[in-house]
Amino acid sequence: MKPILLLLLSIFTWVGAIAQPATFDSLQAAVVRMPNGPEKIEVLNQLLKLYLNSDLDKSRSYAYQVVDLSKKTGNRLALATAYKDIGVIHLISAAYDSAGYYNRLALKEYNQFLKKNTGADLAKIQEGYAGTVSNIGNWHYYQSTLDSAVIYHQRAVELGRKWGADKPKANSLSTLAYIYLDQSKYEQAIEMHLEALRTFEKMDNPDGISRSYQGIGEINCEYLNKCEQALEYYRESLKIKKELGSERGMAYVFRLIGGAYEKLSAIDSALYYYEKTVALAEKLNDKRLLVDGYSALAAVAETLGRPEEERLALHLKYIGVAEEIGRLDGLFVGYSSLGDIYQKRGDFEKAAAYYQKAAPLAENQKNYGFLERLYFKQYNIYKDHLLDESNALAALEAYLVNHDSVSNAIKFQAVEDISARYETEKKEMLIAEQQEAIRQGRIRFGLIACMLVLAVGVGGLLFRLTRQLRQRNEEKEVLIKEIHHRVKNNLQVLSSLLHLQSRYIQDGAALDAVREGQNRVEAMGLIHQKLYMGDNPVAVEMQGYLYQLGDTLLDAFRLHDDQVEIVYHLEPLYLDVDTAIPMGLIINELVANSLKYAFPHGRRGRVEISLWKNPSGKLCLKVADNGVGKAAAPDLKNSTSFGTSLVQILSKKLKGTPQVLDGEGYATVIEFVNFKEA
Amino acid sequence: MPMVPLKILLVEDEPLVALDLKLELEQAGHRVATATDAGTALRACGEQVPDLAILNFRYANSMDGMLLAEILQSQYLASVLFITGASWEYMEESAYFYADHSVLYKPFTKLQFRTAMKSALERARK
Repeated sequence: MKPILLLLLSIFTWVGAIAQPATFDSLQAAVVRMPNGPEKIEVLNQLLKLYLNSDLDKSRSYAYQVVDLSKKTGNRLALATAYKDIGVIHLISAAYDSAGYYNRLALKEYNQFLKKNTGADLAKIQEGYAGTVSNIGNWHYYQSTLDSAVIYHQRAVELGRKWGADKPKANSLSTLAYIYLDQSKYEQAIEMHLEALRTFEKMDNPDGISRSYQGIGEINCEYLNKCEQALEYYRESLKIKKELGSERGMAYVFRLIGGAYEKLSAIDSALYYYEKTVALAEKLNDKRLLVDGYSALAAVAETLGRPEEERLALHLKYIGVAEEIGRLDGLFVGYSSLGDIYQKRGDFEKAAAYYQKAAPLAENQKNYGFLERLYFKQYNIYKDHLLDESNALAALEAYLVNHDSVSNAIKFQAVEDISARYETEKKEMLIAEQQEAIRQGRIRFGLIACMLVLAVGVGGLLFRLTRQLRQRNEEKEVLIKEIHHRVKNNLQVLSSLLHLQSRYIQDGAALDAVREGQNRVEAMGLIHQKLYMGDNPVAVEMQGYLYQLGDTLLDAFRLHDDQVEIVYHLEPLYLDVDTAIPMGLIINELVANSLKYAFPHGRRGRVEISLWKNPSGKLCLKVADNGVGKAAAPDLKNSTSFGTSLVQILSKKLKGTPQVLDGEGYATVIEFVNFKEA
Repeated sequence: MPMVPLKILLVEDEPLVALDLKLELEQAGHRVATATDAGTALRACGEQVPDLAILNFRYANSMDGMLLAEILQSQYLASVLFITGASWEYMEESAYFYADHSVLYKPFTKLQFRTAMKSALERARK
């Protein structure tokens, strides 16, 4: 369930928020009489934004009028803006195909402008462009294609920072916060909210401020169990929404408040606020909000044990709207509850039908425990009441298959754990016995080192070449693209090569060596993947890069977040690629070192990566873990010698000296003098 | 939990990358057919209709990947994952990028590949 999706609804509400009904009427009257021209477009735009919160149909019709008029008067910028607005309106109405279509149109229009670089409207064009990229991020987010959503929103934030386009930047920051929240990355989520809040405050944008309050409140209540505190944030937010007269915003906050009260077990208060949510959502004809409202009401009614008729009506309403807009994710609970009610009433046909509807949805949500109960209920109904032997048998079989696969999965996991432990022991013995083999392995270390140096060399060379070319001639841009293309392709080939090689290696030490090489290539590869080449110099956004590097390393060492967590303390920083590559490799070595040695035998803990500029202008890096520490990790001395010297060599390049800190765990600090920001 | 193995068509003209991804996918239990250009890809569809196709945007001396994607989607109802060495800026200039496909940028990590595959497979199963 993603009730938080709703938060994004008020995308540019503050423009319209100041308006009173009287303004609506006078504007509507005025616009009819106005001659075709930029002023009329301006007023139509005002109107479409005014209605965005209360009447989507009207808003849409004004947007189409803008399209018409700007085509007639040849006003391409207004046309681009209108396309963008229509994209948003469709997105709010959950018409994703249409929304995607108009987003594309808007982007194409803005793109043509950007290339021409017309002076007067440049800021508007840049804001529109970044805004559209942000909207596409939302479009992905609404459809739960989260990896794409993250890429677009990060891009919008980058563009916003570069061009000073605060609005899309702040909007994307808050969405990113919600995505990180979905992924249980609470610290990053709060960081994003705080930067968004600062930006909204700078813009003097009450709607945004209130959204940030809500976000912080939600993390407090849903994840940190501080619902009292969250209520205070929600009330602040509600105050702002009231002042703005944004009913959609208020309805959303009502739902949040209801949720907080429900968590605090103040069911009466929760009920009151949920009812307010539903009433407003019905008035606004906001289907998404209505689904959330009804689903909450139905759940509360079940908890309170309300009369059957009332519960039935609520479930039916909830299911009706959810089916209408295709929000099926949480619906299996609704179907199943409805089945329960019908069963109690003795309407077994209907009960069986609803249980049957619930099953595939529960399976989609991977809720196998629920699924098991569901199949069992079906079995009982068919067997005892409908006397339908074949269906009873089918349900029983489904129940058993599901039951077996659940318990098999548990057994399988146990076997896997045992064999993993066995493998580890075997490997340790092998290492001890085969000093000879390790010496041979060194030759492979050397080989991989050569490959890496070659790759760094080729990469560096090509990029230097790249920059010279761009300065000379715009025509050669095509060629540059081609070169980048090849570098990226070659890095992919290198990565695949190492991966394939590792499939043919039996020797444990050699396999480790190749895997380490693979990690190094991936660390470099991620930089090239994220490289932004629009401007001179070639920039790497470090926050996003390091989050991905951390995830990649955890995955490579097969560690789960709940065993070892990576915590990031990162200043927003753009580094030149010449600095970013050695920096990425250094961090890769240090983090890999911690992951490999600090947490043996399932020990839990965390690794902290900190990157900041100190007052004297040096770039400081700290990688620290709270693991077993230097003394307790006997393998550390021999096996990491290559990794350690890699850190030394690369640090020298950036004029820094690695220092190992005293204290628990293992911590390294490096202060770099020679680095280049982009 | 039981995983439904899918039929995957991998059209990649870089042999090492193709082999690596093929082995990775087969290890996950899928049936993988490979091709190096659009022509052989379409012929391969005659033998095994794919649930999911992994494509590039460009192939040397061959039909462009976007057109191939349209054919695969309309005729075989396959869903599509693009992998590309192109950069952001290049992609943003081409409006077709914003059609409903997943895109994975080279060089990608194994983790990114698995994540992209997961969402592509979910869409393919719908």
